[in-house]
Amino acid sequence: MKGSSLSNLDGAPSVLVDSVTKIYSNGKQALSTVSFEVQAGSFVVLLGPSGSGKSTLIRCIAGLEKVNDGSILFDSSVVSSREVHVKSEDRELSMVFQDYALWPHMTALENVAFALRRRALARPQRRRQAAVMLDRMGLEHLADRYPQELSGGEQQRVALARALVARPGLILFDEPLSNLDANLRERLRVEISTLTREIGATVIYITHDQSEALALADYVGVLDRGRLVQFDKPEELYLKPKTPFVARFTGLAGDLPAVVDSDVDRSLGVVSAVVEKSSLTASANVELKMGEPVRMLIRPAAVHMVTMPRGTIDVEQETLSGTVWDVAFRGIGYEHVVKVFDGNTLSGIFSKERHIRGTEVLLRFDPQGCILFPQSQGEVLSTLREDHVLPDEDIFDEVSQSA
Amino acid sequence: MNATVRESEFRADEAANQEPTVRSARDLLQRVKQLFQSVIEGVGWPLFWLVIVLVLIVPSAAFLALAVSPHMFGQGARWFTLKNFSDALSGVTLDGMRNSIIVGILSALFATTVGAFLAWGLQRTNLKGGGVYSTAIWGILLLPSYIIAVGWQVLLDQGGVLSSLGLYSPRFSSLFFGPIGYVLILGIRGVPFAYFALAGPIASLGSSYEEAVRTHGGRRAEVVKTLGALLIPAILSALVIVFAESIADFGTAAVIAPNAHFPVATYNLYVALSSYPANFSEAAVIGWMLVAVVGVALAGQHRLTKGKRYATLGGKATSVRTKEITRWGRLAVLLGFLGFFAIGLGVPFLGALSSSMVKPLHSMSLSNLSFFAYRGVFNVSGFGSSIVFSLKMAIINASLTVVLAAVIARRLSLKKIGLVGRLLDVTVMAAIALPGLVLAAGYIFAYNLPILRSVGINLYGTVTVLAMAYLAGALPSSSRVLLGPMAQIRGSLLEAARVNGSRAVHSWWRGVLPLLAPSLLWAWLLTFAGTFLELPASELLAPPGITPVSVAIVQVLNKSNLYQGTALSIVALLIDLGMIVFVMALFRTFAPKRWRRVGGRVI
Repeated sequence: MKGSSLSNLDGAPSVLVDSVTKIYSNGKQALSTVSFEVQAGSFVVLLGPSGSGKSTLIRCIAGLEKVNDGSILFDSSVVSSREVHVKSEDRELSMVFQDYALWPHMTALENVAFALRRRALARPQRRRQAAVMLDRMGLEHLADRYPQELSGGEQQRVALARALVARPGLILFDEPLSNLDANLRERLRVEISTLTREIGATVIYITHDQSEALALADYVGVLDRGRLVQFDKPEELYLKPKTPFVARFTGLAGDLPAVVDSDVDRSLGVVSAVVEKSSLTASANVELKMGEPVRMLIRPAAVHMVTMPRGTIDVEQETLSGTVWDVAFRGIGYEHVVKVFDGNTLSGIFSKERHIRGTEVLLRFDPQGCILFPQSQGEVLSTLREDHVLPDEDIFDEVSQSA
Repeated sequence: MNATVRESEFRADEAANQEPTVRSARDLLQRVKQLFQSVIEGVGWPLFWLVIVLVLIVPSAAFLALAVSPHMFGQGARWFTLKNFSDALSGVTLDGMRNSIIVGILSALFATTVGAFLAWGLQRTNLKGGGVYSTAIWGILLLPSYIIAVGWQVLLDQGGVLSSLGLYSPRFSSLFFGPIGYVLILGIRGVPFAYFALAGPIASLGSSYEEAVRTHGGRRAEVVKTLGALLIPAILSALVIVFAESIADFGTAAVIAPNAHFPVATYNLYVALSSYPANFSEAAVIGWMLVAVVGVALAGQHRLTKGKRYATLGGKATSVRTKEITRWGRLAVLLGFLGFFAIGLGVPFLGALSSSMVKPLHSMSLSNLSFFAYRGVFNVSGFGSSIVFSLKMAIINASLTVVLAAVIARRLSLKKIGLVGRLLDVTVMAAIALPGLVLAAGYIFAYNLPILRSVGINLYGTVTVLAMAYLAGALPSSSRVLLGPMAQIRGSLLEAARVNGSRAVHSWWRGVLPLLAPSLLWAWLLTFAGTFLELPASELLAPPGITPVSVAIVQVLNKSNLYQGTALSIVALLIDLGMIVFVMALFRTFAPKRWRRVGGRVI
């Protein structure tokens, strides 16, 4: 990526999504009264699993789908409502598609130059600007290649160049990195982040990858079955998830049953809870009563692992004991899966050292990364628990084998 | 290791315990099997090539060679001459060729436009009743052009349907017996070909290509321009296939030409062969010209698509969305569909039906309707035996064609087809471009050569030569039909069966045939329907005393016996369709469930 200044020509609009509902002709409700506001020039990521409605939402914003109810406003102009539908081509935006959508009969240069037609430039000027944009993306030597002659990463960069070249005020990204390998994803994520901010455009980006969402966004909206369950800054979303679903979707080591054994300290937002026989301090974002059964949702980074000789572990003070079930090398260290009690496990527990399978370990918890939710929010929690409960069988005792 | 040793010891014990007679019988069976396999492997491919040479290459090459070397076939003194070409490039022959090209181009444009509209409506909108329309498209495909032409003739004729409604005009009649009639019939006949060429590409064209145009500011005109460019290969395929089918069509010419002052190439070719004395050289030159025109069209298609990238299907996930059309839009599309099927299926069928039910020499009215013509159908000299003969030929030809076409398709679907495979590919492609009439005419020369008689081969004028011509006509298109499904059979399926201990033939039978069964059935039915009502080869090669169904119908029609001719057509069509329904019912009843599985669906 080479340096040269970019700035948007249309002026980045603010986007207001107000109580938008979308029902498809087959009766399926894809969106249900979704509301949020994107400030001009900010980068918003909509995060959710398949079928959560995020693609429908971005298509409604792009003008590719009509809304059944509610409205979408760019600055203060209504572009979508029950009565109004401004066509996609009149919304002054651009979009990067999951499958790139590069026209296969056009070269890379022609694909990029196409987006400049709306600027009413002469053909040579369009080609010149497209060439500059490709140069900026480090693709100038591939300008005359057809999409099929480019790698996946190169194709996506051409798609990105096409979206940026006309310097629109609003750019939409529909899971642009999902078809790429991990290494390329990281490189392109950085390019998207820097280029869109340089251009000053308002960006709405959808993904199902929480790490991508948290890394890119100024604000993240989490969608679940057509509803927006939380819209917050990434840090708030991570530390204070409003629902177990949000917590799960932004990364958990696992969850454990517990009982509240103190009042909530409102100044610190912490509460004490008994897990198995241990008393642990955790965060609470909702009102909890003394003695109430709860689930403790635990972030991977909040668990610290210590190896202890057998029989020396004091399990009652802010710790839990467990046995290593699995270990995976991650380059800078190891991630462990630890079986704690009653078949419950915690996964993704990082340690610089490798603890082989069957090792007994002591787990310490950071209260900020342990979040309590009432047991009554059980539907999602039970799903969560199923993910983290292992079959009740003896693990392969690596320790005794190696001994 | 120990387990293997124990197993072989056990087998040795078991073998020792068996009776010597059982062992020798098993050994003998094994040897016979091996001998059979080596015979198949050794003789199979040469035998296959011998069939290809005899039914495809020799007849067409002989006929085309006649134009430049009349002496070779006892048709003149010269071994090499171009005089036949210079003679043919004038007068009616040249007019016929010019007219055929004009009619072919207009029919191709008409069929491609309608085919694209049908493909868009059925594949990309939320229009209901797709199954009914698809069946109707198949109906037109199975309808021979001469029956469509007869239906329209009945509608427009004096004393026909329009006449009974007081709408008769000699102007309509004169328009029909001219270029407009040709373009209408050949255009209708071409729509299924255009539809099948366009439906797949239109159905699989990812929605994001259109959405990318729109989200980058492109308006409707740019959407059409961009997506149209992506569909260029399919559009060209549709144009070329309909053009080739149209200029090679003989059925329409056989009905329209006797009453029209508008010569076309295929009818000129037929006249040159059937007049007395027959003008074989002129017929051969017309054959050359027809092949050359189709060749130019194919070359043009190749040139226009060469070097451009149009691939829109890949490993990446692409979403294809159907357009939600409004109530008025749906009404407009529906009217368009009904309009086309009315002129493509309704008019021919109702025209033929009404004509066949009007008493001879009576005007068309309800009081004059009767089944007189139908009662007389089987009194038409030998029509019953015509039906039996054509049914037998169609069943034999369909069965033989499917076997050989499957072999060709398998060979062409291999990743590395080699020189022999490429030669086969070229032969099959060239045979598709060869008009049926030219191929049939080739048989007259190739199997009437004095040299064949002198060595005791008297094929000319026999049912065998007609069967060979039927096979030659059906083989190229059937192998193309099977090429797609065959190409989808992954080699790993066979390999999986082989590594699990199954022999090659058994692997095919158990692992591959069930997957191909529905496609083989369709190829069989298409060949059956095509052969049962086939006209050009039947007209030129039927042995004396044998009249195939199509020839019987055209003979009656050309005697201006319209009501009897249409009754024959209706009866023949009902038998044709009845047989298709019967075979499909047999397949659904008796074929194992795994043979009836297409993807996740069981038919």
